[in-house]
Parts: sequence; structure tokens; C-alpha cells
Amino acid sequence: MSCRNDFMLLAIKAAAMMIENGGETYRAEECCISILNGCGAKEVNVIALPTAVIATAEIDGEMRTECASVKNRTINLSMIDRINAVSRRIAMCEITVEEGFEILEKRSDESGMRPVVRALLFSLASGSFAVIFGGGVGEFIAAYFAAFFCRYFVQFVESITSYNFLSTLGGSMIIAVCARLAAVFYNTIEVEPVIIGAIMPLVPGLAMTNALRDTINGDLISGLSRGVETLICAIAIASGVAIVLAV
Amino acid sequence: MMVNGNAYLTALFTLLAVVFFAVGMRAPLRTIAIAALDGTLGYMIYILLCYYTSSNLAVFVATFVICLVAEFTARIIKAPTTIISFTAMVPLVPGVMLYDTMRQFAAGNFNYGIEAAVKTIVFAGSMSLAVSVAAVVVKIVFTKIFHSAKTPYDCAKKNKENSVTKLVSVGEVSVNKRKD
Repeated sequence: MSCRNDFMLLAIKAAAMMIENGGETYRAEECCISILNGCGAKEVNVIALPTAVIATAEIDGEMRTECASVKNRTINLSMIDRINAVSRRIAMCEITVEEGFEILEKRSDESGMRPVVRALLFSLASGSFAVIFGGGVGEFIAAYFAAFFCRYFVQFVESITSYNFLSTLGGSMIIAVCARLAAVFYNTIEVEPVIIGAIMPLVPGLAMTNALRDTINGDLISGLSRGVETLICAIAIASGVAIVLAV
Repeated sequence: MMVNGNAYLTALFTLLAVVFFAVGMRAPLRTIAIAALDGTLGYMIYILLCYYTSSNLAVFVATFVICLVAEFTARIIKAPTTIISFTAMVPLVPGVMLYDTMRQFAAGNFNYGIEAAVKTIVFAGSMSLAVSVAAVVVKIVFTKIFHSAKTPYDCAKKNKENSVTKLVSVGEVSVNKRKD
């Protein structure tokens, strides 16, 4: 395939994947610019938005523009690391464009962990948060199981559809149900630390920080749209928990 | 937010929370240990400062320290800064305040809800301000004091200049080799 040698396509793909996997806007732009500059393009201009990336550059005396749309956004830190490494190594002329494509398309995990094992480990974080926010041993266990069921449900919904609102709503409802059941069966367990600990990985606090940071950096459109995304996510969690607590 | 008033237990559980959060977010293995220590340090600073000043100033200083450590270690292990600071900042994120805001709105207490919402925004605002300030400070330190272009963007610009002028001085070659 001839397009495997096209560094313009590689640059736009790297930027789109950076946004897809939760990288910041300026990082996606810098990544695209460094690949294009490293391969000898001139007059590089890149616009990265949460939903699309557009790049234009002068290559061998011709202006060329490419765009890519970004449909779903998740967080995958090892992919960010890999894309960053590709852009740096291409800018340093250490690897060819084809090798860059190969590294980007290799989607396997670095650790090779199965999703169930990952969910089991992830839930331990929720247990620890429950302890930090005023819980004991009972709260740790309750938050652990609540977060595990929630995680499993979220992964199940995300494998069917990329509709975040539904998975977050259902996940927070499951958490609240688990917390109330635990409080019914064991009188010593308090509901509040369990719920807070278990929703901590769901809560968009970090997305909110990123949104404000984008706005401060000057990426106004990204900042606003990420802020709206945060708001929607917060509403989903709030209504999920509130529905169960009100019953 | 201390476990039974015991600082060691709090530190231990913060460490555990950051480690397992990083595992869940698929962080590269070489960053997890640094992120966990960084996050624990930041949360301890936050708790300590909360006794003396307002929580907003405390979270500003704590996030600033986290980001400085993250920026410097990220340049050593050649990973993006975000990966380390993203996981290390998780214990500080105002999840409880956001939950409180939502619960007040759901219960119909709009006055308390708006108060809690403004508190949350100010808290998150001081965190993101600290992140931006730390990034700028580190950039100034690296470009003005050490005179080294460390970001891939700067490297690309340097490569381009080299290829255009075909003039590679001895100093630049040594800089390029050190970056590999």
C-alpha cells in the first residue's frame, strides 16, 4: 500500500488516536506538528478539537490538508505513551513511517492483563478511597464489591455501545444499590464512605481539571466542550445515586 | 480525611489507591511506582497544609509539587508528563465535593447546591492553575537555564534547521546523542 509511506496520514492518525485515548489537546497538536516537521513539511498548521483533528502543511511545494474525526473517547495511558514515543522517534529520524504505523496499530496491552483481572485490581482502588474518606474494614469490602460490579457493568455496556451516559447512570445505580444492601445486612457499615469510594473512579473530577486547564491554556473550544462532557457525566452519576437513595 | 487520625495509615491507603487506579487506567508499568510515591507526597502535603491555610491554597501547593516532580521524572524516564500527574492527582480530585453538590441538587436544596458547586469549581480551578503554572515554570527552567530542547516539537525544529543549513556544530551533536 502506498499510503503506508505517507507521513501526513501518520501524523493525523497519531493526533486522532491521542485524543481518542485521553491525551490533552495541546499534546495532540504538538505530536502532529513534530511528526510533520520531522519529515520535512513546511507551513504546518494543526487544529485539534475533542471531536476532530485537521492538519494542513506544505509538502514538496504543494499544500495538503487532511482531517480525521474522533468518535469515542476513553482513557488509555499506555497508548498515550506509545503515540508519544512514535512522534518523538520519528522527529529524531530513528524509525521510518511504516514502523510508526505498525507501532500505532499494535493494540495489545503492555501488561497483557485480562479485563476481569484488571477490574478486580481497579476495584481495590475504590476500597482504598473508601478507607481514606472515613471508612473501616467493612466499608473497604463493600466498596470493593460495589466498584467491581459497576466496573463490570460499564465494560459490558461499552462493549455494546459507545454511549457514556447510560453506562455511567447504570454504574452509579449499581453502586448505590450495593451500598444500601451492605448497610442493611451489616448495621456497622455506613453508606456514605462506600458510595464516595466506589464512585471516585467514575467521578469526572480529573476531566473537570483538564477542561479548566485547556481553557487556561487557550484551547477555548476544547475547554468548553470538555466542560459540557463533565457536566453530563456528573448529572448521570447524581441521578443514578439519587434515584436509589430516594427509594 | 485521615484514617483514624493516623498519618501512616492514610499514606499507605493513598499509595494503594494510586497504584490500583494506575493499573486500572492501563498506565505503563515503569511509571506506576513514581506516580504512587508522587501522589502520596502530594496528598500528605495537602493534609498538612490544610491545618494552616485554606484548602484551596493547600491544594494549589500540593498539585504544584506533584506536577514539578512529574515533569522532572517524566524527562528522566522518557514518558509523557500527563501519565504520571494524571494518576498522582487522583486523591486530590474533588470527587467528594462534586458528589455533595449533586446530592444537594437532587434533594432540592438549591442554595446549598450552588454554594457547593462554586466551592468545587474554585477547588478544581486552583488545581488546574497549579498544573499550568508548573508546566510553564519547568519549561522556563529547561529552555533558559539548561539550554536544552527537550520536547519532541523542539527536537523536530532543531532537526529541520540542521537539515536545511547542513551545519551541525559539535555541541548540537552531543545534545542530540544525550537525548536518545
